[in-house]
Amino acid sequence: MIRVEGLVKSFAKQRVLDEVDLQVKDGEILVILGESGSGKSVLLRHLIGLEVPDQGKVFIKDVDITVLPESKLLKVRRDIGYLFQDGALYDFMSVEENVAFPLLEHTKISEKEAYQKVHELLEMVGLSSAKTKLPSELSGGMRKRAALARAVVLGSKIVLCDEPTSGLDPIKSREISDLIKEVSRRFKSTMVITSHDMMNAFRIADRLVLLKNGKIRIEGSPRDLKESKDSFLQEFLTDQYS
Amino acid sequence: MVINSVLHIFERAGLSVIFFLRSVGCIFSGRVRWKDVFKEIYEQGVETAIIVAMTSFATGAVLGLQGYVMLTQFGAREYVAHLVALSLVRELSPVFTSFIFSGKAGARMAAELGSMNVNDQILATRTLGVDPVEFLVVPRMIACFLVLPGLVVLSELFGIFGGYTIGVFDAGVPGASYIQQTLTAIRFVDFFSGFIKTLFFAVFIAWVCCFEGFYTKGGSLGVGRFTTRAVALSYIIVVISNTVLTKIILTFWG
Repeated sequence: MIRVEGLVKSFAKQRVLDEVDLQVKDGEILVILGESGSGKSVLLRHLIGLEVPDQGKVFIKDVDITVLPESKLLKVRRDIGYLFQDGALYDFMSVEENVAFPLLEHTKISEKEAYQKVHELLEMVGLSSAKTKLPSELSGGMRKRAALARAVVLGSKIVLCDEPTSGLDPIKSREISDLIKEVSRRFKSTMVITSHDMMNAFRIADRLVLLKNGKIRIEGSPRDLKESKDSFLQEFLTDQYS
Repeated sequence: MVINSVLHIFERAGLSVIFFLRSVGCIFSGRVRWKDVFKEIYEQGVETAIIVAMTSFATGAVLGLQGYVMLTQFGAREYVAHLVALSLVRELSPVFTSFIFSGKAGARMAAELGSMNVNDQILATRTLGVDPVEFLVVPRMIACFLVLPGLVVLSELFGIFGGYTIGVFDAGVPGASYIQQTLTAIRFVDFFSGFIKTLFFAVFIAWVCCFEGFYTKGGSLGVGRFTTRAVALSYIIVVISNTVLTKIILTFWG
C-alpha cells in the first residue's frame, strides 16, 4: 500500500533522510522509532506529500506522489488521515465541527447524516460529552482523541500519526495507543506511527523500524527487536526504561 | 549579508505575488465560500464600524472647528461645510479609515492566520485535502474588499455629521444651509475618486495582512512580529499608493 524508495531529504545541508527504503503492507501498524531529530516526522510528512524529497519516490497505492502537483495531492490526501502531534484542530470550530469538516467537504451526505456519523465516532473515542467544546477547552489527550476522530472520519485506509503519545502521562499514552489499535482494527486501516515511546510502540505495532541519522538502523516485529543485540537499540531501550 | 537581505526581499516579493495570484485564481474560478465571507464581513465590519464612526465624528468636528476659525478670518465662515465635506470625501475618510481598518481587521487577519500557521492548522487543512488559500484566505480577502468601502462611506457620513454639529451649534450656520452647502460641495467625481482609492487600499491591506499571516514563522513571538509588520506595511502601502492614485485621478478627472 505504501512504498518508499531511496528517499533522501536535506535541510540546510544537513541530511535528515538518507536513502530510506520502506514498505507498509495493507492493514499493518508500522511504528517508526527514533530519537528526536532522527527524521521520523520528516519521513511521515513525505508519505502525505507535505515534503518534496531531494531524491527518491513515495508510492501510495502504486502512485508516485512525489511527482504530483498540489492540486492532485489534495485529492490523494482525502484518502489519508493524518494525526498531528498537537492535534492541529481548528480553534474556531467546536470538536464536532472539526470532525464533521472533512465529511462536509468531501462527501455528499446531508449535514444531519454527517453529524450523526460524527457523534458515533466521538462516542467511540470517548468525547461525546465534549462535542460542543472548543479545542482550547480540551486537555492534551482529548485534543488527540478529537484529532484522531477527524483523521479517520472519512474512513481512510491509511492513517499517519505523528507522535500520538507525546506530552501525555503514561496512562493517557496507553489509552491513546489502545484507541489507535482499536481504530485500525475497526476501519481496517494501515497505520504508520512515529514515536519514541517504546513501551506503547511494542504494544500496538505489527512491525517497527528504528531510524538513526536518517537511515533505517533496524527493522522487524516487536519480538525481533526485543531479541536484537543491536547496540543502538539496546541503548535506546535502556534510556527509555530507565 | 547585504546580498542575502536583498535576495530575501525579492524572494518574499515573489512569494507574495504568487500568493496573490493563487487567491485571485480561486475567486475567478468561483471557488468562494460565501458563508465564510459573510461571517468575515460581520467580524471585520461590525467591530471596526464603531471605531470608524467615533473617530470620524471627532475628525469632522475638529475640521469644522479649525475651518471655522480660519475661514472667519477671511469672512467666509459659511464655507465651513465645503471644507469639511471635501476634505473628508476626497482624502481623510479613505486614508484614515484604511489606517483604522488595517490596525483592527488587518491585524486580526494576520494574527489569526499566523497563529493557525504556527499551530499547524494550515498544514492540517492541506492534509484534509482542502486548499488553505481557498478555505482561509479568500473569504477574508473578499470580505475586506466589500467591508472597507462601506466603512469609508460610514466615515464620511459621521465626519460630515461631526462638522455639522460644530458648524450649526458653534459657528451658527443654519442647519438647512449647512446641508445644502455640503450637497453642493460634493461632486460625483469627488466621491468617486475617494471610493476608487478605497478599493485599491482594500486589496493592498487584504493582500499584505493575509500574506504575512499565512507565512508566519517562529511560534507566538513570530505571530506578534509578523502581525505588526503586516500593519506597518499596510500603512506604508496605503500612504504611498494614495499619493500615486491621487495624482492619477487629479490628472484625468481634475
